[in-house]
Amino acid sequence: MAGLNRKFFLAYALLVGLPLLGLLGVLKVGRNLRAPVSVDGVWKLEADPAAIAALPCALPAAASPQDAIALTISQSGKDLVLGVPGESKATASGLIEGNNVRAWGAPFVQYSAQAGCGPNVRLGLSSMVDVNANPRTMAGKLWVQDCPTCATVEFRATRQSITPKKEPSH
Amino acid sequence: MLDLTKLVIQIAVILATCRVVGAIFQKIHQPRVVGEMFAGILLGPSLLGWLAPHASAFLFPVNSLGALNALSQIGLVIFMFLVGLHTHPNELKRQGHAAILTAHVGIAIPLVLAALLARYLYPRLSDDSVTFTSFALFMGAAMSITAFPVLARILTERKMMHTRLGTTAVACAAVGDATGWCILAYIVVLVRAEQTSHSVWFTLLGTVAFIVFMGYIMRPAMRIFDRVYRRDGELSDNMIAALVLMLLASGIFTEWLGIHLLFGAFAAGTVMPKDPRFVRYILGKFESITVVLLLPLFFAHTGLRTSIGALQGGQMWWYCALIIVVATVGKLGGSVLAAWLADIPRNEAVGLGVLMNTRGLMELVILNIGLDLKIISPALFSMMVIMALVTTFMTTPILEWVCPEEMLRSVAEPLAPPSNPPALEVTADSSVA
Repeated sequence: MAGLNRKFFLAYALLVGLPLLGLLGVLKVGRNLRAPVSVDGVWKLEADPAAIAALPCALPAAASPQDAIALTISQSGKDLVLGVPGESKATASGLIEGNNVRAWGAPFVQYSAQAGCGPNVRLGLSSMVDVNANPRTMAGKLWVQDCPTCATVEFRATRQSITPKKEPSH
Repeated sequence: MLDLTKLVIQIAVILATCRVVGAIFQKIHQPRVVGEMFAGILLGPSLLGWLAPHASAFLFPVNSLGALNALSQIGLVIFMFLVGLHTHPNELKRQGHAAILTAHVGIAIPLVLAALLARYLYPRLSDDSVTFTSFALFMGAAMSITAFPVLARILTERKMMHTRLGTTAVACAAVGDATGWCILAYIVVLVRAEQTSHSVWFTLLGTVAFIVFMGYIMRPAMRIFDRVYRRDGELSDNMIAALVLMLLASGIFTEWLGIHLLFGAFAAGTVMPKDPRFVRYILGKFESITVVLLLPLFFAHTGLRTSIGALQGGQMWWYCALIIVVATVGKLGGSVLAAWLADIPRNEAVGLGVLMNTRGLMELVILNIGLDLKIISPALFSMMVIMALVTTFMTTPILEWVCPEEMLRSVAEPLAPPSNPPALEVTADSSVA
């Protein structure tokens, strides 16, 4: 019986105690890891309504200039999927590197019939995220690829629907 | 505004799909619940949304999913109560050293391996709104969980419930579930403390007070249900309503504390009397509507959030494969090692490891909480759902291989039925059990 208990406690220490100590070590070391900047959530875009309206494949809210354009970003690490709230189908994919967001996508389905637009037209987005702002903001530009006559639209966006959490400083 | 017609159509489509796919999975010796989990994936963007986007947009428009989600969450609340109802960690003590060692190793090794994996995945699949500690502990909780109900169903179907292997597996799974939920509660506290006005200490002390209250006040008080049942052979509608109110109050309190509604539901189940006849009676009252109607809605809700198409490129599939391997090595490997060191015969040790590696529905519950709290990203959620399906699906064939029925009959000495057999085994056509 004593032999059994000794074996049990030894096995318990090796297979439970050591892994738990290892876990503490991994958690401690892992605090120094840095993940990509968070841009996940709903963003409210502000831009010159006239410039937006003039852009082929204009964004959904262009019809009502008073309203800001809402954009959803779903983030998995560096990979981004952009869409509009209420639409299940993604409209653009992108990347975040450092503080820079870049995305490309087809026009929104309901706007692809507009003059100057079409299924082959690609919209581009490039912006810089201000990580110190709370809520986070980004500023950048929208353009139509391979369209020299199309103007570039500058915009500023503010994140709406996510509460930025503390940075991993625990 | 609620579109009732749309909601009824959605429920009808989900139920029909789950029944059909569940029946097909039963034909290939899989528990029905695995088929229903799979059916949920089929209804989401991974298949229906990919093959027939217009049909998918018609059936499941984004603005119509609120009601479906609410119904599925109610189903989960009742389901967690039922899981708590037949969770009895004290059973572990009766199973001896082997079960204690296996249960605890089956949690500790997946935790540390998941944390190591988290070091690799955190910079690649997370973002800076999540702390590494929350991310790593969540991965650990998700990888150390065992789906008690699915495990009970598998054991019952293979007539292993009352064997040494069966009783040990059930006791270990109960401990694994309880521990996994405690870890998850801690993570929820950490994450929500950053978002709400409650301090961590308020939540932690409140949780301790809640557990003490449930254990020392509510558990004895709940015996009145058992006494009335023994006396009258049934509970009146008022008694059932009182029980439901207690369950809801418990859930609301834990939600208010800043942990989660489901913890309260689970806790309410654990303090209920454990007399097998009483447990079966309560299950009879709640189980059918939950497992036949409400849980399939949860599977569909999960499927609608799972996008296998989001895993683009070899790198994403590499991460997914890595998650499956680490989850399996940690849970299955750890449990086998512990059982083998505890002098359980080799085949039975492997069988125990395979059973402990069954994640099933409990994993989906945890993953949905993680996605709601944004601890995991959509792509990681999809990978973890695939891992849950793979590890659950592999259980039956591997078990048939390492523990054929002839071996169980000749080697594993059947034990007397335990005083508290897992009550979910009593229902013959239950989706969960």
